[in-house]
Amino acid sequence: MPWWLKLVLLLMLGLPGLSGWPNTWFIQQLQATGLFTLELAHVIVWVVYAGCVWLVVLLSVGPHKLLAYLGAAFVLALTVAMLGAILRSLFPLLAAGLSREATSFKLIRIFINIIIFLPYSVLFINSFSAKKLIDRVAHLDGRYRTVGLHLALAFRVFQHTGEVVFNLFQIWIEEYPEKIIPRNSGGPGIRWYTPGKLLVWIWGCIHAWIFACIIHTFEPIPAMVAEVERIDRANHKHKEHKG
Amino acid sequence: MKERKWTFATTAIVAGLIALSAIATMVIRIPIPATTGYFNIGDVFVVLAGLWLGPLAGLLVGGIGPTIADAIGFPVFIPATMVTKGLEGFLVGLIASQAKGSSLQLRTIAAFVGGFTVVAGYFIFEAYIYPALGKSMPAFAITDIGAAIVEAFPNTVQGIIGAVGGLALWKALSGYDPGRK
Repeated sequence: MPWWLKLVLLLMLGLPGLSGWPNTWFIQQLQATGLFTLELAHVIVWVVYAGCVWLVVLLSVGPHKLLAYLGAAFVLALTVAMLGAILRSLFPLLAAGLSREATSFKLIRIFINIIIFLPYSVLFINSFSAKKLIDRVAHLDGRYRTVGLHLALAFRVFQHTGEVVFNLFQIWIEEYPEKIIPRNSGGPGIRWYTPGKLLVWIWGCIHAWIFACIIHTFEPIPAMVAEVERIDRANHKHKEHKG
Repeated sequence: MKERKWTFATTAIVAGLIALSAIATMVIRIPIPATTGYFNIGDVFVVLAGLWLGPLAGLLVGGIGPTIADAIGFPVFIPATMVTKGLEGFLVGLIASQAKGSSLQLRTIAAFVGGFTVVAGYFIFEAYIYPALGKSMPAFAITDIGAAIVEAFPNTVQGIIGAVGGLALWKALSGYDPGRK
């Protein structure tokens, strides 16, 4: 499939995220039936849309990658929703007068947005070949070639970081099964100091995960830069010979 | 000001920092119900980019990375984030580029100016700009001055974490400059 057709189709798929249309129209139609409240109509329409996006991701990258993307998306979405709910309970002032139902609906909307657009974003980034882009740009002349090589290199780094992040989620889940899978948990059970230990554990996980992210993201960058510089130098030499 | 050449290595590192700032913004999101905004630690990489690579890198990392994160879950905040975080990275880089050698004093000021920019920028957008836009575009009618005041506190904490975290990472990475002539 030509790259421009892929781009058009992906932009059409992501249109509800950018403009709300046609989902807002469907929500209005459902509400007009009188059978659904705004909140229920919103959830129904966006969950159906989520299914459509996941189907496209499944057909594009296969079931294993879809499950990896969904795993990361649900972890992030649940973290956001749960933290938001905890914060609402601990600091009611942060709700600034919103009712509990309105706050809950906001958190549900955020949850649904994340589980839709995280897999969609990764699909978008990985749908285009950075290598083909670099090869095509290498044949341009002058300033366009230099700018194009910079953009192609940036795009390649984005793709690499996306791969690193999802692998790190999987590694983290495998290293800390006791918190995720109850049958693996041992120890004395819940004690008065358990919340403190949980916070320390959470901080340790985040710290380790962020540093692993930094190291794995920057590790292959010298090789990527060397490749692009080689292409740039090869093109310079070719131009000099022709001149 | 140090002479700084933009090389392919600089592009790759800036792209990596953009991706990392997007991820750091997404991974730890604590929603603030009053404004549908959220507290995050993405500023660490924005401040790092400004301190390490200069104002242009800070502008790019701040303007693009957290904006990508906002597009996933909080799209209404894209304009505010692009401007505020872009300005944060730019100002951090601009002030830090005046520092001599590995001096920490001016860079610390730069980092905290960046943190203040986050607080001031989001306050202006949520108290004035979004309510004004909300009159013609309902999607932006999500905040008012009261909600903006409520969010100033978590934004202050976010700015401080970004400044301190960014300084700590800069100290670890400052030995390597991909663009120094």
